[in-house]
Formats: sequence, C-alpha cells, structure tokens
Amino acid sequence: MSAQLGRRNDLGLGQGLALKLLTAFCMLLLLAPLVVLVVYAFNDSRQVTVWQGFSLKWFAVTLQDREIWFAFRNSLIIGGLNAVLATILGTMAALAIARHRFAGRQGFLNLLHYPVLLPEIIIGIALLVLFVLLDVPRGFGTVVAGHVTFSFPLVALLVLARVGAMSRTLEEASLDLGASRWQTYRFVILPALAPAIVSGVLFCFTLSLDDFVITLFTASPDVTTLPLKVYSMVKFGLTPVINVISVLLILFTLTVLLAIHWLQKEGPHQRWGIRLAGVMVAALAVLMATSIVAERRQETLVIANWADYIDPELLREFESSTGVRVIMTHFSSDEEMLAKVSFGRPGIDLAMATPVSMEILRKSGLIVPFDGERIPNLRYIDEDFRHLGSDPTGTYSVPYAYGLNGILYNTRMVEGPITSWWAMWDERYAGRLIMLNDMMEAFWLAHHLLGYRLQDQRLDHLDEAYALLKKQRPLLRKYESDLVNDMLLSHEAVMAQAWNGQAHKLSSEHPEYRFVVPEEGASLFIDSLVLLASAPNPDAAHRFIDFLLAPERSSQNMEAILYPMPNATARALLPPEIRDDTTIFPAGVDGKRLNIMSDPGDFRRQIQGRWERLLAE
Amino acid sequence: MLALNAISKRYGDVSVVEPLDLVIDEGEFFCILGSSGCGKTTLLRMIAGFDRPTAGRIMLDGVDITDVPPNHRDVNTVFQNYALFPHYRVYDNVAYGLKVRKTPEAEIRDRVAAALELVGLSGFERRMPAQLSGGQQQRVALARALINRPRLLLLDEPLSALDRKTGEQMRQELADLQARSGITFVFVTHNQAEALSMASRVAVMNRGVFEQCSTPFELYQRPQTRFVGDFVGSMNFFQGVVTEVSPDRLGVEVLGQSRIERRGASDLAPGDTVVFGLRPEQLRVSLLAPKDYENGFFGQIERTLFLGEATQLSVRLKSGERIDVKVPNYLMLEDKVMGLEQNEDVWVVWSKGSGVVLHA
Repeated sequence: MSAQLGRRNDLGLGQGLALKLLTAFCMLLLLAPLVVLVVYAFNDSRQVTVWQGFSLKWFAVTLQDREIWFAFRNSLIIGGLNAVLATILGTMAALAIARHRFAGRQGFLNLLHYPVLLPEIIIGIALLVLFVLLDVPRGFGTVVAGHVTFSFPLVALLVLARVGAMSRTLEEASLDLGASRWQTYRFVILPALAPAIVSGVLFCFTLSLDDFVITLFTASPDVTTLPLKVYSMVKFGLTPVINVISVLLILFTLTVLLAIHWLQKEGPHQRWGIRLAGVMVAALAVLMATSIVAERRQETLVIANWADYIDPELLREFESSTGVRVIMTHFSSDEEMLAKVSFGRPGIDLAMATPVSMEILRKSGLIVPFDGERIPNLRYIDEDFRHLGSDPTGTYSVPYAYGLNGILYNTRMVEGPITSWWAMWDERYAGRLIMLNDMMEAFWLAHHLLGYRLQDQRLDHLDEAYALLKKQRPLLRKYESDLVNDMLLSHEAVMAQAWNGQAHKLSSEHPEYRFVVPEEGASLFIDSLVLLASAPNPDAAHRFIDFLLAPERSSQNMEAILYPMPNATARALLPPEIRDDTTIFPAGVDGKRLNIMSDPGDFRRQIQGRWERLLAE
Repeated sequence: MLALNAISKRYGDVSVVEPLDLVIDEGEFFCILGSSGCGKTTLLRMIAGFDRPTAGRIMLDGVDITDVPPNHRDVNTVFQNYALFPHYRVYDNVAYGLKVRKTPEAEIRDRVAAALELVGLSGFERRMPAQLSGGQQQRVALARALINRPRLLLLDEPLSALDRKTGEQMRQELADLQARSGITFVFVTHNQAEALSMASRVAVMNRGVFEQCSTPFELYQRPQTRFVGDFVGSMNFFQGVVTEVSPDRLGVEVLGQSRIERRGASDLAPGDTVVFGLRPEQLRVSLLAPKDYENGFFGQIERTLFLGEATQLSVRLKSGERIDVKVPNYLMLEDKVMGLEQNEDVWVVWSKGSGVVLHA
C-alpha cells in the first residue's frame, strides 16, 4: 500500500509541478480577497477599489469614531462573557460525555454538532422567538445567551478530542496514588486539558467577535457589535473604514490562531502559546473591566438610523448638555428597520423612516404623533416638506434629510453638458453606462420618460416601460448601486445614475465628475424621524429633535453628512462652498418634477418578474 | 496478607475471571503469568480497585477492601505504559502521592530524594517525563509508587515496553528492590522468563482460571497441566495409558512401548489415559540404543534449527510423530551436532523418570 503511494508521488516532475500550481491557485483563491482588503485599508482615496497612494488616515478616522468604539466595547464584553461561560459549559459537557455514562449520552453527543450543521439563521430566529415568547427584553444577556448556545458545543468537541487522546490510566494513576476525584480533576485532568481549554476560550471569543447573524436576532438596539456596525455602514457604500476594521479583526484572529496552533503542540512552542494566550486574556480582561466600568446605567435615548447619518459631535454636545446618552442602532434597508422596530420589545425611541415605511408603521399603530408644542424649532422646517403624502397632518414625522437621483458623469469623457435622462440611452457610450441596481427607480424612470405614472399600475404601460429598459440593457455595463464611484474612477464606466450624496463623495475629490438632475425630473428620497409608540424615553426624543432642528446645529449636521435638509435658515448658515455646491443642492430643482416613491402593493410582483428578466440578460 | 476469596469478574455473558482463591504472603514476589486475554490484568485491576469483582471478596491484612475505592487502598500500581503525568516534572510526579495526602513539604523533599536514589535517578528531579528514556520512565513510575510505602505493589507488565537488554537488566533491579524494600510485589506478565527469574511464586493463568500456582522451579520441572508444560518452556506430548501404579513407581505405555516413570499425578489407576510430556532439553540423540536406565524412541532427523546457545533437532519417529530435541552447542563438532546429519537414523534417549505424566 505505502509502496504504491510512494511510487505515485515519484511519478515525475510534471505531476509535482501540477500539484504545486494547484496548491498555489487554491492559496490564491483563499488569500487574494484578504490581501486586497488589507491593502486598501492603507489607501488615500475614499473609494475602496481605486488606489490613490499610501495613507494611514483611515486608521485615524476609524479609531476616532465613537460609534465604532461603542461597538468594539460591546463586542469585547459579549466576547469575554461568552468565552468564560461557553468554555466552562463546554468543558463540563465534554467531561460528562467522556467520563460518565448517563441516559441520552449518545443523543447529547450528537446534539453537540447542531451548531455546525444548522444554518445560523435558524438558530437566530429560534432564539428570537424564544425570547419574545418568554418576554425577555433583548440586551447583553440575550446576545450572550445566543453566543453561548452556539459556541459551547464547539468547546465541548475541542475538549472531547483532547480527552479522547488522553490516556485513561493517568486518572487511574492519580486515584491509585491516593488522590480524590476532585484532586484528580484539579491536578491531572484539567492541566492535561489546559491547551484545549485555553484554545476554547480564544476560539469562543473569536467566534463571538465575528458573529453576525445570531447577534442580529438577539441584540437590542443599544447592543451594536462590531460586525453589526460594519454591516450597517455598508449601506452608504463601502468606505475604507470598513477595511480598517477588517484589518484589525484579521490581525486579532490571526494572533488567536497562532496561539491556538502553538497550544496544540507539545514542547517549547506550547509554553509560548500559553504566554501569548495569557497576555491576550489579560488584555481582554482589562479592556472588559474598563468597558463595564464605563457602562454606567444612565438615561438613554435610542435611535434607529442609517450609518454615518448624523454628526457625532452633535450627539456628544446633546449628551453633555442633557446627561442623556444617545445610542445609535443602525440598519441598512427599510425592511430591516421595520423588522427592528416591530418585533418584541425593541427598546427604540426614534427611527429614521422613508415615506413608505412611515405609512406602514402608522397604519399598524407602531408610531405616535409628536407633540409639536414641545418642539418649537419645528418652525424652521420648509413648508413644502411639512405635509408629505404619507403624513398629511405633518404630526407623525419630522423630515430630516433628502436626496436626489440624477446623472453623474465624467466631463472629460462624455460630451456635455448632460441635461436629459435620454443620455443614458446614448449608443456612443455603449457598455460604459451604469444604472442603479434598484427595481423601483428603474421602472419609475421608464414610466416617467414615456409620460406615464407608475402609480396607475397599468400592465400595458408596464410592458412599454419594460421594452424601453430592455433597449437600454445592452448599453449598460451593469446595474450597480455600491461601487458606482469606483467604476467611474477606474473609467470602467463614464456615466451613471446616482444619488447626489454618493456623487458628492466623488466630485468633491475629483472635480471632473459632474452631477445633474435632468430636466425631465428625478426621484427624491426623504428620511423622516418618527416616534415609536413603545419608546422608553419619549421625553428625551422630543428634546433631541428640538435640539437638532436649531438652525446652527442643522447646518453643522448638513456639513457633516453632506445631505440637504429641508431647513432654509440652516442652509443659509452653511459655508459658501457647500451651500453653492450643485451636487449637494442641485440647481433648478422644481418640486413638481420630483417623485417620492410609494409602495406599489401587489403590482410589485408584476414589476419584479420583468426586472428579473432584465437582470438575467 | 492479601487474600482473594472466590473472586470473579463477568462482563455480561463473558466470563473474564472464573471464581478463584489466592493467598499471598508478606514479602512475596508473586507473579501472575498468562497470555493476553487470560484475565490477569483484570485480576490486577480488581486488586487495585479500578474494577469491581462480580462476586467474591478481597481481603488485605484481614480487612475486607472489596468496596474501598482505589485512593483509599494501601496498594499502589506501576502501569504498563508508566502513566507518568506528562505536565509534571520528575520531582512532582514522584511527590504526587504525598502531596495529595497533604504531607509536610520538608518530608516530601526528603522522601522524594530517597525514592529517586532507590531507583538510581538522583539528579533527574527537574526533567520532564518526555525527556527520559523508557527505562528511566519506568524507574520514575516505580519511585512514584514506592514512595507511598504501600502494603502491596502491583506491577502491570512493567517491562514489556522496554528493549530486551534494558528489560533483562530491570529484572535484576526489580528483584533487588523488592528484597531491599520488603514490600510485597504482585507482578503481571506474559513473559515466562520474567516470571521465572524474579518471582518467589508464579500463578499461571489461562481463560480466567489458575492452572498452577507454585515456585518457578516446581512450575518448570513439575507442570501439573498440559497447558503449563507448554506455556512455560516447551514440551513434547504423547498419548499414553497407565499400566502400573505403586507408591514409588508409575508405569505408562506410550507409542506401544512400556515406560517406567516415577513422577505423575498420584490419583491415577491402571488403564487411565494420560498425557506424557518430555522437555526438549531433557532429551539427547544417540546412535546407540538406550541403556536399561534409559528410555528411547527410534527415528530420523528431519530438520535442524540453530538457536545460538543450542540446536533444535526435529526427529520423525517411526510411528509418524515428531519429537523436538534441544542439544547444547558445546557438543557441536565442526558445524554439526556430534557429527549428526539430516536424514540420519538416531535414537532419542532420556533418563527414566525425567518425563511428566499428566491427566489427559
């Protein structure tokens, strides 16, 4: 048998080379994404795939971001508690299985594999349903319980492998020499298992730190962990901050892996492993302790918001003037926000809603009107925005910011100026055009250009719109929402449908890019703050909104997030270079030509079928 | 000192140790000899307290210890694979038994030093077990057990993991150690040479029962069963019939010839079928017919096997049976045993009275 194997390996250089190439290819597949991620953390540009020079500035930005720190702290506390609890439980389970005979032992052993085999999302949903049924308010406790649920079986399996390799005569020798059962555990079994147990601690901590799905389902809004934070940040396009966080997470995970690797070996490496693990555990303990000390109970205000959608300076100012701690919980889609505020006891005071979601929340009684008398600064809101379709009385929502959909193009490569959406059907730019990967925007635009209204919900109009989009399809590079700037910058594309906020990130660094709202009109999004019926602290919510609407703060906020706000007084206070920026405040915008997207209801299915056919082409 | 009363062990339907009795005296070096699976290790584990007997009692110094857990028995074990604690230094391994009994630190130091000196490992205190050779680990295991001054030391195949030379050297040391410490040893092995060379008494175990329990000399010279005769050393066996019984004589007919033997089971009567056993080294080959104080078979040398200190000849008898003869090599003559060749016709000869007669 072995002779045969030996011969096969010696078949000649050809096969050896092929094997090496295959190995290299596999390593490349495995590592290339990580290398790209790490390299671009040091990129000077704010685009994530276009290299512009070496810089550490994103590390500075990341380390100064208070919400990242909050998330990091939460991750540490949860990871630490999980590591301790899961390791204790897992070790106990392993010893019970290995050293004791009891009814259901085999079943218990089989069950230990379930976190590996079951999709995480099912465990997450099961935990969520359980917590809601038991009426357990979600928070640190529920997240830790969730993490322990999936990580302790892994510790058990890890320790079990070690117990299996451990000769049973060691225990017998200990008993034989007069040691009690307890002394045998203490002096023989636990030291022999120490490498597996310490690996378990690090492993659990890392699993906990990296977990997204189960945390998503079990966390309350004030318990945002690092992965949840990263995910919510992706909404506004990838920024290098995400690369930086990833680099730090990769570094941490590699250190843990190295420690675990060393721990598994006998000899001097094992001692280094124990030292490394010891240093890490000590450092984590200190960080955790300081985190818990910092976590004093105080009055809080919880806001569900898009990531990077408010000036953190303002939050700090509000906190120091009122003593109320503001906690941001982030979401990355309207649907996610609705799920967040509708299930169980969310513990959220204010939420950022689109007109569509606001309508849903209002109809289901999940939001209540604001008390206008307690928000005197409401008077600064522009009249046009006060009574939007979904909130005719203007009491359920406070408009926050809006954005416009238009065309972003490279003036050096496109013959301009561009004034019409028909430019997106210009065959001269075939293969270098981008439309947003957004079904409703695409079909609204097609209807609008044909002189129809999408809200009429007519199938014949829909077919015509589909034909128009189908005609455009071969001209498109692709439907893309996230990497529009990167593709323009790398000249993969020359013209794109884009939101003005996104466009500004490009045009502020590269003036050759221009954003216009075409003369036919455009789609408008508007985000408004709503007050949840279940808000734990409605008083602070009212105070916070009044604080935010004061013109000088509104202006500061606009300067920070670079989205226009319906507050003319505040706009006048902006520095001229921002006030006059035609990307942030596009020229010639006439309210009549702007569309506010509404929910198409059942008609969505008709649109969906055609959209999928477009994507498939 | 140690008494086993009708002790037995069954796992479900499988009987591992049949009910057996045994008394071991103070200061004995007692050896249990048997092939693997004969139940000898199970017996040892019951004495140590790791396995509970299915029935029967274990008495130590007149006290019933059957239900006493191993950590409360005044018995220590040296395990086959030594079972040293891999994460402890030699010092801490040896000190373990004293440490868990909360012995004062100063006393521990002295006794560890004494125990290591006893096994010749002074100066190895700070080594880890992985840094020791097999023989050294063996000595640490001995020191670790002896330091507790047990009433009884159990040794489970302690030499089987050592190379032959080291193993033989350790036999001598173990015997010395036992003599010097005066501690009663119960030694389990499958190696007859170990058993014969060290033990004061040997019990041969087969399929859960003691075949014979006697001194090494008795065991070898007067095996009481065919199994013992074959397992301890080797033996040629023949069917026979008893022809004559008197207080000092026993007549047996083997292969149609009458043999007179002096030894054998005393409860035989004329006409009984028996097994007649001859050890190869009790035989010699000769071109001459046996004298009247001798017995002999006539046959042809079929095969010779050089063994080093002796040569084994296989002689095919007229009756078709084969008999092995072991001839010391100092009798060799120019590469041939006494000038004998293959296919040569010879007599296989032995002194009357040197064979054994056993129950069939």
